[in-house]
Amino acid sequence: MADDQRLDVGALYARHRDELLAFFVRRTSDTEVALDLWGETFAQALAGRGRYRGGTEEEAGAWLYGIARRQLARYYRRGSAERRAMTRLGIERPTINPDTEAEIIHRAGLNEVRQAIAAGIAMLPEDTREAVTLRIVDELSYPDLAARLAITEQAARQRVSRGMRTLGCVLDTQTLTEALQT
Amino acid sequence: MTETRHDTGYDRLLEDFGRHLQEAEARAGSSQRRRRRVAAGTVVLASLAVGTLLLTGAGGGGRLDIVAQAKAALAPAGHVVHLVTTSHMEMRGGSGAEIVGPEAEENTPRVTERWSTSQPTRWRVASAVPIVTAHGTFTGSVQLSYGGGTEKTYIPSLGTLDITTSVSEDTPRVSLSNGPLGTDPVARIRSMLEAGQLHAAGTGTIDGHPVKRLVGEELNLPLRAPHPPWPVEYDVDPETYAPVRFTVEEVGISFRGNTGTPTEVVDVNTYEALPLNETSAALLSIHPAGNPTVVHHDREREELTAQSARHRAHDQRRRGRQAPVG
Repeated sequence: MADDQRLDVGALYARHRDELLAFFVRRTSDTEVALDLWGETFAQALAGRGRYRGGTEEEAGAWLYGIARRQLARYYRRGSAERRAMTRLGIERPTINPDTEAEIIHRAGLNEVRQAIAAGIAMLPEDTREAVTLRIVDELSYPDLAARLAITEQAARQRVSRGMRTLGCVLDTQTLTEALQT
Repeated sequence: MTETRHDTGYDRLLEDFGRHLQEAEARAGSSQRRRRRVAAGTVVLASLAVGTLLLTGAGGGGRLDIVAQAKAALAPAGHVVHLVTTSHMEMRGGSGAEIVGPEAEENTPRVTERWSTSQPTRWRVASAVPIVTAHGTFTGSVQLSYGGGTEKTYIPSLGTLDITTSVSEDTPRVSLSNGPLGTDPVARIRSMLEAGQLHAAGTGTIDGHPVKRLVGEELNLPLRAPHPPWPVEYDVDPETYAPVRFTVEEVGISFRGNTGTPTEVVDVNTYEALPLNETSAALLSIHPAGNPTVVHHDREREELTAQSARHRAHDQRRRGRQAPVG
């Protein structure tokens, strides 16, 4: 690790890797998207470590979560996760098998979040509600969801992310606020 | 109550990604150290990159005659190829081709002159590049040459001549170290043609003149950060097959405040094949003016020293791990 950097990204990763992944899983209800956002957040932290001006572990953690929330807000706006820093640094996003996915979901307590989402889903417009229900509650893949709704996969992703944004009140108020502001 | 768990791959996934992150940090640290050396007074050799272009790739196929003719035009037996190129970057596929923001400062068109011959490989490159010193950045002339395992870098404004020996012509350092096309773009393009990595793709027009087009994809290369395949276009004169323009789209790279894909465009202003004789051979060598400060390097010895240092560090780490605690 680079001695002359104020930020030890390796140590930051070791401290926050699990909780940050759970953070994204709980806020997207989608392990694939969560892994994209998680990987991109650490990649951006690495790429931008020269701009870090903090000193303590707490400040480093807050800085990392600042990146994470911006990533999440961008995902809510656009319906897709960014991979720019990962691509630039030549870092591949991890792939997962069903066992790993199940453990990620378990660790994040996603099933409880899904119940909360199911409870809040009534507040959504009909088309968004249907998309979110099929994706989050019934766990359809995006291609299947797109086929079911007779829309493109991209449109399906956007519809779900729009719904998740609306449901932000049961997920994370701060993230929702950022998504609406930016 | 204890919970019985089987290996789901979760820990491995996180450890693997952590390792990738660490490797990326090591790569980034290495390039940062290189940049610092530049700031200490040596020239940014990589800045020649702006005047050159990367041409490698996958694919192949296409019409052999075009590929063969294009190849022959770049390495005519018994000749020295003389090229003068002007290069610049532009954004493709975005809302504006002109680059704005910090990168715009680096994007002044750059003129580079090259002389090269094959069997054996010898070349010289002369370019005006930004030279970074402890006292600031200025534009100055730089010359690089290669021949017989010796690489030279001459910077008249600093009065320095670096001579590096034991440099094999097929090492990435020689072929790739200085920008997309490498120090010697002619050799790079030729190797792509020989490897079947450029193939015929019809015709086109550049500034109203018809050209024959070859295309390919630049893949990841040694000493470079991995990236998606970069589309490469190589346009040649339809009659003489002389190079007219090289372009490479650096997919996956973004410039802040710009939209589209940064694209390197190298226009060939002059192309000529000079008969190899005493006069033209002299063009392949650097002829410093005055008495520059000469610094000798031995690549083989430097690599052995670096390797030895790596082994020592590894042993120290291992001993550190084995040391008793307390």
